[in-house]
Amino acid sequence: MSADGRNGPGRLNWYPGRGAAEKAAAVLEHQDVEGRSLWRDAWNRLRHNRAALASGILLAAIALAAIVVPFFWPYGYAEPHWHLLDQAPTLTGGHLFGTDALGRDLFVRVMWGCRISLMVGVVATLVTLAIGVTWGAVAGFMGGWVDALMMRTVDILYSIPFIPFVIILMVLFGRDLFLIFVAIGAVSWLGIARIVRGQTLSLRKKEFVEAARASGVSNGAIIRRHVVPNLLGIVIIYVTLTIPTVILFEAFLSFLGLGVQAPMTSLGGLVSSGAADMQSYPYLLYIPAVFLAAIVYCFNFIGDGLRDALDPKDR
Amino acid sequence: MLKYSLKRFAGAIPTLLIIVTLSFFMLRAAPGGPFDMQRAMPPQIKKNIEKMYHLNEPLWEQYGRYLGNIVQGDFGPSYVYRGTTVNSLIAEGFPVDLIIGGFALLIALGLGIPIGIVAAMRQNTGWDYGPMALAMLGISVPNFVVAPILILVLAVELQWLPAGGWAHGSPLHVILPTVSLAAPLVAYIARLMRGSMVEVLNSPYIRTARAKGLPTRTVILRHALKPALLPLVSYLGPAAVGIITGSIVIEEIFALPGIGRFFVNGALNRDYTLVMGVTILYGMLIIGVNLAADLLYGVLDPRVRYQ
Amino acid sequence: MTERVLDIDDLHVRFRTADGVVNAVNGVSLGVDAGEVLGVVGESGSGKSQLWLAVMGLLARNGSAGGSVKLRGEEILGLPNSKLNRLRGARMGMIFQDPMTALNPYLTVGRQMTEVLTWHRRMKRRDAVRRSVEALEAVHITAAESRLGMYPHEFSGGMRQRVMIAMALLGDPEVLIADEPTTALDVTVQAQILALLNELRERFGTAVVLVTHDLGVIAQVADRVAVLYGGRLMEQAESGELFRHYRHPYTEGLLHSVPRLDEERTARLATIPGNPPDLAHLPTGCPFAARCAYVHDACRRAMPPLETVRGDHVRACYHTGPLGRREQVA
Repeated sequence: MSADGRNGPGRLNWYPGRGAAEKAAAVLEHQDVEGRSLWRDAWNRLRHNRAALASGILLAAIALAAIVVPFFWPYGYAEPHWHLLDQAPTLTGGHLFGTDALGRDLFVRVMWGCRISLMVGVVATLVTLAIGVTWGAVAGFMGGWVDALMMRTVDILYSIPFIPFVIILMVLFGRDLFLIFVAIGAVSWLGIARIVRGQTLSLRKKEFVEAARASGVSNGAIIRRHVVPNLLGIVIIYVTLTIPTVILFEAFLSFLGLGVQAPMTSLGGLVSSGAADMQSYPYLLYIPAVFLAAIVYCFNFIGDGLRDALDPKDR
Repeated sequence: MLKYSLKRFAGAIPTLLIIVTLSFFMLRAAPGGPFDMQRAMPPQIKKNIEKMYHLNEPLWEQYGRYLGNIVQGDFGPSYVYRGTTVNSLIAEGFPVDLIIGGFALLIALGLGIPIGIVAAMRQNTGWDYGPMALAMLGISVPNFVVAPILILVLAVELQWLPAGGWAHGSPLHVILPTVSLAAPLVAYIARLMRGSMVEVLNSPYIRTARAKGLPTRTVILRHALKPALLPLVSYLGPAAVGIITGSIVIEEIFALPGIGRFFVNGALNRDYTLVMGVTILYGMLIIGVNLAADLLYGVLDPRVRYQ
Repeated sequence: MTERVLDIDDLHVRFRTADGVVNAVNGVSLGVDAGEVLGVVGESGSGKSQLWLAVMGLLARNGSAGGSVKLRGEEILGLPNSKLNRLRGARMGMIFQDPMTALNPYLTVGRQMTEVLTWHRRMKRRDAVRRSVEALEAVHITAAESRLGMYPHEFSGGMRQRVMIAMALLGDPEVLIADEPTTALDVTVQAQILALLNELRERFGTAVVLVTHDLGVIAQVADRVAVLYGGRLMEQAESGELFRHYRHPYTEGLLHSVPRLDEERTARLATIPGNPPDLAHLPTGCPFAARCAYVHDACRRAMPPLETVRGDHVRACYHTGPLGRREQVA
């Protein structure tokens, strides 16, 4: 709030369009980046957001466990224990979360599931970023007919139902993990491309860029000090809010049987097989479901917190 | 307004063309054909069948033939469900999806919008934090997790509702699939509405409205609602996509005779025409919804119309 | 003997923020008489806007106001919205700085105008439309009837502000608060708007409060002027008296920082050195002390009380010697 105590900053220009990225852009559109003080300010606000903080800790814990546990856990994720089929979770007896229909330890499978889900989330989002940011930045920077052409392409692609195409891809070309990353990433880049392009376009014309140029600051320095920090904010928010979408999408594919190949599994695959045996062995469904929901929940809260932290208004 | 609509319509055609072309060539590019999965048949018979379905012609010819057909509304015969046409399969299955999808959207809007508005009006109080946290949960839990749980509780334990099946659209059979489909949608719409309403309520023109002494009810309904709904209108396209993908899963869980199963199974069995037919239908739906959303946006926001 | 329309006594406005309590207004007492134009001058952070938002009951969610505000003798501060809504738009009107964002872009101008009448006067649509057309004509908007069906973005900036004024006057308010009505407009349009305000004041007898940071605007239309700084009233006098016989260092600084056409071109631009006070951490004593060229020890210890200089000219300052532009080391 300004020292005047004036409220109501007169914001408009809600970007129509799907998803969190658009919201992020609308939020950051009116900001002038002061370089470091913006980040320090945002960091302070983020620290005080208890929900986001708790989510961050929980997420870190899950990720840590997912990475570390399979290394020293006595059971492998594909290792059947024929004498212990469908055991319920127990604190003694070694199988913390019980076993599944093939006698495989559920705990280590859930940990592997988290690994895969998180990996898919991060990598696919990176793919999305790579394509989307480049596309948007080039379009915004070049302007003119290049911009018009690139954005028209985005508009057309926007209407295409990508989900069916991804499904077709997965069915036709096998369930390669790499293919999954690329397919999911290729589907989601349109949103970030629009945002980055809009942001680059408006940044080019912003007064402080003109002022910097008028003071003789070089193009490179302008990009470093003004353009990148602004883009960074949006990109960070977008990443944290896209990862859960991607994780859920991968879970959806797994549910249809199009995810990673057995015996490797993601949380979606675990939920899918768990749902089949739901009546007799509910824990096979609930435990991976809880982990899946927790991971997605945490990312959403963190993303929300980031957005509020970078938003100058009093929410 | 007219020019605006016409521009939008014109843009739909190249999109549709791309969808058709992309799916056509993608399917053909995959290894295997529609008749590989079935009983091994003598090569001569296989050749004849392929000839009957024009599968031995060069790809471009097949493409041209297909285009000519669909322009006349003929999506061809199903390669796997021998004796039936794609048109009839779709005609049979689509109403199912239309019903559960349509109702899911209505529920989502009918619940999500009021919840969002109330949360925004009572910002940062219990009425805000509670529903929003719940909504966050709704977004985080995929509908193929919600559905089995609902089945477990309502169908198996309490036995209030059937666990699956369609029974020609009996209301009881419609409830669970629709609710499962609607759950993440309600959550998202509530959050979207809340965020958008909060922004609108902080706008200068709302302050002017209050300075004129208008009662809260008027300020919300007449001044704030229209602008607050705009992001929701833009969301209709993605919402349609969500409903479509959700329906594929829901159909499987509840064993509903919709077109989603044609899609996945069709792709697995290389039933080219069936998969293409469903894909094109999905494409048309999404384009249609996006078009409607665009037009609706123009109705709500006068500035867009007059460009 | 003019009647007092608005009587503000010891008004405080505070905001709870993440950085602590912000004291936007600290004990301001003002009065507005019928038919006059009261100019309220101050820089950003002086509290000049929050003061009137509090009077109208339009503070943000985290704001609270204390003290007393009487509209023709009735206390209105702290009234619930249900009662305030009867006063706002009917007996008190307010227009804001940026007419583009202050008008609802999604509703026609006609709608935004007639609703004032249908709500406050229970008029039928047709009568409300007629009155609105009259109001638009009164602010010199041509083709008024067709204009009613248009949207705000189809008007120019100056016309939008006229619409705002017409809209605010529809309810026949006794006082119109204009918060920086010309700041977002260019100078030629500004002159028209001010002339319009003057004309309307004479025609309808409405009291006008003109909030601005621009002394030129004040000089053109104000009858009396109040000078605010750091949420406090520094000086108040009848307009001519203030410009000719100001008695407060801050007023002096303000007046001298306006560049004049008859100055030497190579003379340096005069400023008041320093920055406006941090409203979350106000010092004890006079808020201007840190920048004042005539500061005494007493100034830092306690806020000087308002005392009469001559007639209704009052000021809050400990400095009793002459003011004569001590050279500031910029």
